[in-house]
Amino acid sequence: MIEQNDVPINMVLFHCGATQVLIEQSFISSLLADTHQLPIQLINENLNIYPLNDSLKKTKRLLILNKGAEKFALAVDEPIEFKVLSSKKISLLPDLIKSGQCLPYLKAIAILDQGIGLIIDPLSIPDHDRLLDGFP
Amino acid sequence: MISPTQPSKLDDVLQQKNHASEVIYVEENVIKLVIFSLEEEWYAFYGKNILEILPKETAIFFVPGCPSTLLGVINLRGSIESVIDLGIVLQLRTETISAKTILLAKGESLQTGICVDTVIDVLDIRESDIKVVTEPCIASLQAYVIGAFMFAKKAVTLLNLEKILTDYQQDLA
Repeated sequence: MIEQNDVPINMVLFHCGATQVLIEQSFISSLLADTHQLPIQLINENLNIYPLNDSLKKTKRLLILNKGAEKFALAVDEPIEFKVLSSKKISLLPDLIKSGQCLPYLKAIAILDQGIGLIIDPLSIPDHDRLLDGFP
Repeated sequence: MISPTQPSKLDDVLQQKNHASEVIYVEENVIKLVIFSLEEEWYAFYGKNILEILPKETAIFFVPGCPSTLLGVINLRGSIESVIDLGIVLQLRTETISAKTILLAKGESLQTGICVDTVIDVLDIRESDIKVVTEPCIASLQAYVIGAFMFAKKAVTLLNLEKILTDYQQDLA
């Protein structure tokens, strides 16, 4: 067994329907309030991808993320929380979840006060699932 | 007339009886099994493969994109484990049920939670009590049946957990 020091990691926690999702804060550029006017696709309930029209009412916020010099956005449900997560609370993916390729951009699982959170790698989300068009 | 050097018939018989009364103790292998129910039938796994029987109230957290056999993950004292529905994996049912028990199982290459309907008992059984099954009544079990035995007047099918896990992992990949 390897003993590791506890490392605090700054995360953003948001919701996609009933699922709690986390992204490292360093990816986040800004947060927008209104998604109504943008022609986007989004991550929504259960992290499946739906066109905006189907789930507009549930979606409240856009997370704007950095990818090098580019920016892209993810539409997410509220509430959004900025959290410092202890590395002790982060667990590797179980083998079956990994080999089952449930979500290709799922990186790890966080143990939260209420349930668990899925830590995703936003840069691995396929381009067609991100907001790209029509955003400054 | 019997000569004094020759053993009499009676001596022969007594000697034979003497040998027969010697009891030879043979130690028979006893194995531990975990018996559980699935769709009202009883099955068993070797106890060495079952690390823990978790309480029924253990919460399973859904992970998006998983196949229907993979129910999600559980938080087991800070360690995250996957959970599969054995009934669906073995094609005994098509949809998961709400009341179920999770066995934490360990194979050679994999550790995972396994959902069963109920745990019936954990018991030691003589290896000789397990009989070979030539043809299991459910075709989808054929590759996984080790044998069968009677317990509480009911037939129990002993399943090969290692093979179930290996095949399942290969199917997923």
